[in-house]
Amino acid sequence: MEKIFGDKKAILVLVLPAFIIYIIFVLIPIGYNIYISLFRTNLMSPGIFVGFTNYKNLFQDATFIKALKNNLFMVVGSLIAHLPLALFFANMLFQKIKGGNFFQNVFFLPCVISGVAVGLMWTFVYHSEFGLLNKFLELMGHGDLKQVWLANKDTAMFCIIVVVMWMYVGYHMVIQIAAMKSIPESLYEAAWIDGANAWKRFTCVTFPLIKHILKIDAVLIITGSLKYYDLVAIMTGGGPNHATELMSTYMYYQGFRTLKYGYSAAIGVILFLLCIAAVVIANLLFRSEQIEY
Amino acid sequence: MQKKRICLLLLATLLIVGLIGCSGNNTSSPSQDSNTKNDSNSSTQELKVICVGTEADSYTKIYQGIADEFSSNNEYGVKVKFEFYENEQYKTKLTTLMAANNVEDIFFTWELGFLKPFVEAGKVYSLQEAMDSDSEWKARFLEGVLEPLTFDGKLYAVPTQTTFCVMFYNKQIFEDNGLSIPTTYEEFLNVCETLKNNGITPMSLGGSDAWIPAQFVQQITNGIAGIELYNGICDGTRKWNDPAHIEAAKEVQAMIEKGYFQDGMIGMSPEEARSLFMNGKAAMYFMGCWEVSTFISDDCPIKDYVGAFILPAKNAEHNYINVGSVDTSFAISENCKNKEAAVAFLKYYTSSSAQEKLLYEAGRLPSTKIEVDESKVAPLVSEVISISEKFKGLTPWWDRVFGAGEGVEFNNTCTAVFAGEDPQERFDALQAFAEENANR
Repeated sequence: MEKIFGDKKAILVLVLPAFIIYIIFVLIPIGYNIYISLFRTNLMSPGIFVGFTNYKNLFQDATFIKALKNNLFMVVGSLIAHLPLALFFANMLFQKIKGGNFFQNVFFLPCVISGVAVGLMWTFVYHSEFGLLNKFLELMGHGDLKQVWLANKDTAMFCIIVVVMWMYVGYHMVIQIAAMKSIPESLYEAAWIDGANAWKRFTCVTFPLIKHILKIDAVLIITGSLKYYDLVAIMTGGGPNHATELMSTYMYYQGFRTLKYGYSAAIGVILFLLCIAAVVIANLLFRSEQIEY
Repeated sequence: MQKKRICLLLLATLLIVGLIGCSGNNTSSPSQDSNTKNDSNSSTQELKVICVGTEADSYTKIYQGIADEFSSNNEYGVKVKFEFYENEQYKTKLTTLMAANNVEDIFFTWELGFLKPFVEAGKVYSLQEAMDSDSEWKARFLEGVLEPLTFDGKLYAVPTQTTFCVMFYNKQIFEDNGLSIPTTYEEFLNVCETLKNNGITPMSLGGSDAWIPAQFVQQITNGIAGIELYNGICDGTRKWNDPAHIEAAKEVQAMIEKGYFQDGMIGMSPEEARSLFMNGKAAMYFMGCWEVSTFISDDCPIKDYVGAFILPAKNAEHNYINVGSVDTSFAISENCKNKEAAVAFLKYYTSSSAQEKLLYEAGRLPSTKIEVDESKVAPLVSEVISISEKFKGLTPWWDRVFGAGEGVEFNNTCTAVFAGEDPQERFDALQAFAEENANR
């Protein structure tokens, strides 16, 4: 067995099927997407080559700027919810409290439900007439605070980000707990003998040793919130009047609704570049040495 | 060792064969194709129609009923099957199918700017030839209904209905409050005020679909500036931020401020708004007259109390210039294998028997000249017909005229206005969009 996995040819043969699929479904579409982003085309009649006009127009397009801002808002919101908050929960559950496993499952549960189902459920929660939130406010005697949450351009984006936070906090918590569990018990014993309190144990032992996982986590969070689509599509569809438009929903709108596939491909390219940039930046920020126990 | 190595290599070959196997289907398909062709010649073939509608719409059964009648008796031996999709979903589906060159045989379409890009891309089969060779078919249609579907002198779709916006009202509520149908704009506002003071929601409107606020704004605008504004915007001599649009937007905002619409109107879906009206919780409901089919069906709780009137114009000289157009047009895709049968189906659908069925059972106004038997139509339908006789002009919905670009943005602008944003600012932005959008 050892010998076979040492054999370069065998490796090539084994990797080939997956690699072919990867080329067909990932690399070629990306290349084609970049190619058509240079055209003005509805994919039905032959396109007109316009060079970088699509990109130039994008940055004068108020809706695109709005979508970009919303995306950055999503990134910041998700980072707040999913790094410190998830880390807090992870550390709590890592302390071997009673029912830790149970809470771990409870926190993790939302992110195994399909985004569409979650979106629909929260649409009902936010509903202006029979929604849970408005009914709750009424019950508490704050009827004046009632809102048409998802149809008000000032509240819609916040409503969505709350759902995103709620949905994925458990997912990142589980990743971080897994990292914490790989830290050898002996380090904590040593810290305990040295008289370190819980806070010291966290800052001096746990945190430095899970930093490399936090890096991967941050990359997941940033790219995840850049390419976010399903919740917004279900809950507001980018409305009211593009107030909750994200780059992905705007790309869909320009492509499949207004038939400007070249323009929409250009949005896709920008999204792609932003994701790559996010990975590079996260790599720089969380640079850490290899840890071996 | 050797054995394991062979095992692994075998596994790898298996995977590759599996992969190739996927594409293998294509190479063997010609023979399969010829098989199905042979089959279809001997037995019946199917024509698929994709159309807008949902389970909740009672008309879907009537459409399929017409198709079934055609299927049971036609010389081509084809069966016609309708598939219904929700409005917004349908628009996306159709554009995607068009781009993928995968459209079903016959498809529902709106006129003007909606159909135009598909025609220009050569995806739609021209009906001009079929129509020229059958003068009887051509003579069936009302005057002018084919024009919005004609591009470069060629007809691409046939309208099967005509439609326009009316204000539906609950006769019972009007009677209880001693109100009569308003004939001037001031009277209309008074009706709203009286209802409001008596604790009844004057109007119900679903704001979650952008085209619904938009058609209301368009109707008010028609009453302010008339057909000249419509023509001006179409040929580019008037701008989107025309004072008439701003004035109309301010009128609407005043109505909202005074509480003439139901609470939570902005976030409410069309179905919810309609059910408010149907359960007698709102007195009026502004909608296209296709909604008649819902109000005359037995499921409607206020079946016997629904009436209709035309929203009076703010400037009386522009009365009876209404938002309206041809509707439920059907076009044949270039992909369609059996175009003759498809044309025959469209002829059947616009025959007087089918059109009568649509009128008497679904309350759909015909696009062809038929004798209306007053005894067979529901009272609400004859009310709507008598309204239609008074029109001086119809302006199609903006999102039909301009298609997805400016049309959709007009809808979004109107939603923003309904949500209380500054009309001048919004319509300036729309004009700016229209100028930029041209070269995207």
